[in-house]
Amino acid sequence: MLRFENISKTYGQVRALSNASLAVAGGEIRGILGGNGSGKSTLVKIAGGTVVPDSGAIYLDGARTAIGSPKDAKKAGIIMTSQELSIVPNLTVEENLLLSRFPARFGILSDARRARRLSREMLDRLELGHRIDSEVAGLPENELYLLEFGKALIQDGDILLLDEITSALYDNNVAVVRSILRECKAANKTILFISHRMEELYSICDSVTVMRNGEAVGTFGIAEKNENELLTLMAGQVCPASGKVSGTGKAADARPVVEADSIPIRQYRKSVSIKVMPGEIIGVAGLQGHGQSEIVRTLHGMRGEVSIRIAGRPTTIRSPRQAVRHGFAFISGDRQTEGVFKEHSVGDNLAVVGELAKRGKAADARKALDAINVKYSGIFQKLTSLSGGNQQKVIVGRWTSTDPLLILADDPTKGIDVRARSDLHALFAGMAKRGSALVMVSSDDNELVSLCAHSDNSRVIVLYEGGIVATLRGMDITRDNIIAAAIPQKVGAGDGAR
Amino acid sequence: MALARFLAKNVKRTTALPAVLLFFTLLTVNFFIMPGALSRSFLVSFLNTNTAVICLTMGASVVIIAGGIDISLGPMVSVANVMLIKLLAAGTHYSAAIPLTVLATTAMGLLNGVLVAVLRGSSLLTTFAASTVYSGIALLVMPVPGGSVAREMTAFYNGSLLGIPATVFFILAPYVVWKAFKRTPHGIRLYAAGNNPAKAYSSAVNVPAEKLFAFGFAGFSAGIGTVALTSSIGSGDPLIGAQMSMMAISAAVIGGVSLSGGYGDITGGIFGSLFLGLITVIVLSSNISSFLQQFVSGVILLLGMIGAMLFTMRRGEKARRSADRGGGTAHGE
Repeated sequence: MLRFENISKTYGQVRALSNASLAVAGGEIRGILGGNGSGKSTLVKIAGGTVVPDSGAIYLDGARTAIGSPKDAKKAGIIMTSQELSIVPNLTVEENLLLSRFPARFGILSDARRARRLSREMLDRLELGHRIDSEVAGLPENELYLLEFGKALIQDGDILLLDEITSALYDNNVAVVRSILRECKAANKTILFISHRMEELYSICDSVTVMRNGEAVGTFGIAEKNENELLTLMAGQVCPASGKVSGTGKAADARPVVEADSIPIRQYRKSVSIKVMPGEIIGVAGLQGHGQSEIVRTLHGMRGEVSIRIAGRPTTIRSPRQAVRHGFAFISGDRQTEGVFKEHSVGDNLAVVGELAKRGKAADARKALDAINVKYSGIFQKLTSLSGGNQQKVIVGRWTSTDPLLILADDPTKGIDVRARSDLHALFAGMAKRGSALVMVSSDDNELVSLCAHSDNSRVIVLYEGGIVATLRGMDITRDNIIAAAIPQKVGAGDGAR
Repeated sequence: MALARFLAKNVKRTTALPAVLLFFTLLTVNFFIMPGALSRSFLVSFLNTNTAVICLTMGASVVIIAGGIDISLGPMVSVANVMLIKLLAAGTHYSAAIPLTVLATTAMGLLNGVLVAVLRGSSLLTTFAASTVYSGIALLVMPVPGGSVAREMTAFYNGSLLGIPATVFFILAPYVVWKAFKRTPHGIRLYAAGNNPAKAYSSAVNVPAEKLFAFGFAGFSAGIGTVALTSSIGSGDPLIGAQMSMMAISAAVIGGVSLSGGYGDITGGIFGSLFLGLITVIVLSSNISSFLQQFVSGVILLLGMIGAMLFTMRRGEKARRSADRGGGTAHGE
């Protein structure tokens, strides 16, 4: 039994938690739902020992417990996964898995054999057995999150705090996590599960606590509230249904902005071709690692040379720098390493590629930030003091002033709450309406469906083993169709589409 | 044969390979310049003169792996060298003076460690300040070179034990301590702390403790190096270590230890320092005008570094390509 009582925490001007109270029993999986900046992560970090609260207390089985460091938390049996990941890039998968708890003989010597057995067991459960000796640096995102999950599990605590562990996972990975969590529940563990994906909350959790503005505003049995009711609670107001925006409709006769005949998908030794029309929105779907990221990353010059045609003119892109010069924009879902400049202000982060002049930057930046609905206290505050969703809005905001020819996005809304996500979608749709084309990869099929609803001029391409197995347009863009295409039932399946 | 097996285990597929190749390349070059360059007597005397730097390199490597840097190791050698000589001159038996010297350098290393790991000083600034202090102390204790060591020390150092040159044991001392440390769970913790202290901390790693160990180990290695050096030259010199800090750090980097922390190992550093030592030998034995010597050794060092970098880059690309293929088969079904 884990209980938070009246926890408060303030970062500078921003109040992250104000008198939040919450109790979870053993054998319960509690979902936590809340917008970015509602205090979910802070709450988890306080129990996990990486953040010290200003006031309030944590009780374990009724006894008040002081937690000052991750070590303290571990001793108390509280194990946390971090949204920012605690995976260290210079160690192997096995070493990372056991970093917090390496088996030892006589309390001193590493027990390599037991280490191997433990990690082999865990990795097999996570379906990552083949990665045991891999360098972590080259792993795809979803496997890193699975590894973070395994690293928490292997420490065998009584209380598991999972902060958006599924945000980068694909459906098959989520199924693995779900079945493991069921086992943990059967073993009477206490589990806090933060996620932005509604269907996961419904399929995994017993109950859900909604957080808003640093407070727990209500706890419900999972069957008590439907999706819309929860979203309304979370937002504190009625959630607008995503309206359908009519597209420009002039795409049919226009020339493609970008054509690529052969984008290599190296891991499958295949290549795909793609043709992007001005103002078009293309969603890229598929199972994990089937080449989706390769498309946008190759086009942005991140995978070496690639020959393309821009408005019919043959061009070779050799580096991201060149891609940007040709009017490409790239937005990564991996904010920490590829998006933000951590030590810099909101304003600087916004201006890094923009055309905002040095003088009068402040005024322009404010206007831009308001236009994209960013919650901030001043443009000179550090970007990292914003919530993840707001950080990502700033990153997208960088490009809005440049009117890019082509926006390439690799899972850009990963770990972002539903509201910020729909803000970002609206932002993308607005840019598309002004003529920018968008190619966006997403690990969340629902997201692509709602993104494409913004414009008539949109389609979803589905990849399987490095090839495009389906192209969906209009009413055909549904989650079921995407899933059906992504997992071909038999050879030659996939709606026969090219 | 044993050497080949050792290399296969410690060098293949690690960042140490370029340093090993550089070393053997220069060894071959030297053979053509100086006949007899592969004889046992040459190799032993070569090792004798380089043991101190090798020990320092091991210490410097571990500090860098732990995410710091220690530029005070050379001056530490100066202090320890004059201290050892003074102790012997005062009538202390060498069996007491030697452990005291190693203890003193270990304490100096730990002091650096406390300032950096616990009080969170910048390691560059802290050890720079410390190096000035240590140099000052060395000059204070012994303003001019002089003194002598116990005859037994020189005899032991230049002799051999069980057929193995004694100097090898000085290299083995820090080597074994580090390898033993790596066999405990602290091994990966130190690498994690060196590469990303924040993530290591949230993985319940005691980051200051790991760094403290690294600095203490560097002090210990400097002590062992000092004893070897003092036995070899047989006297005290307050400036003897002045150039050694940079030598050790360069050797570590040539040996594949990344300055960003958490990558590499000490084996590469050993070959890195041997490579540096060979440059001196080659320049001296090839009758180059003394005005040109510094220039030539600098050029060899630069060429060696460029070669190592190209080699590492090419290997990185290969590894990436094979990783891509591995990923492909993994996802195949």
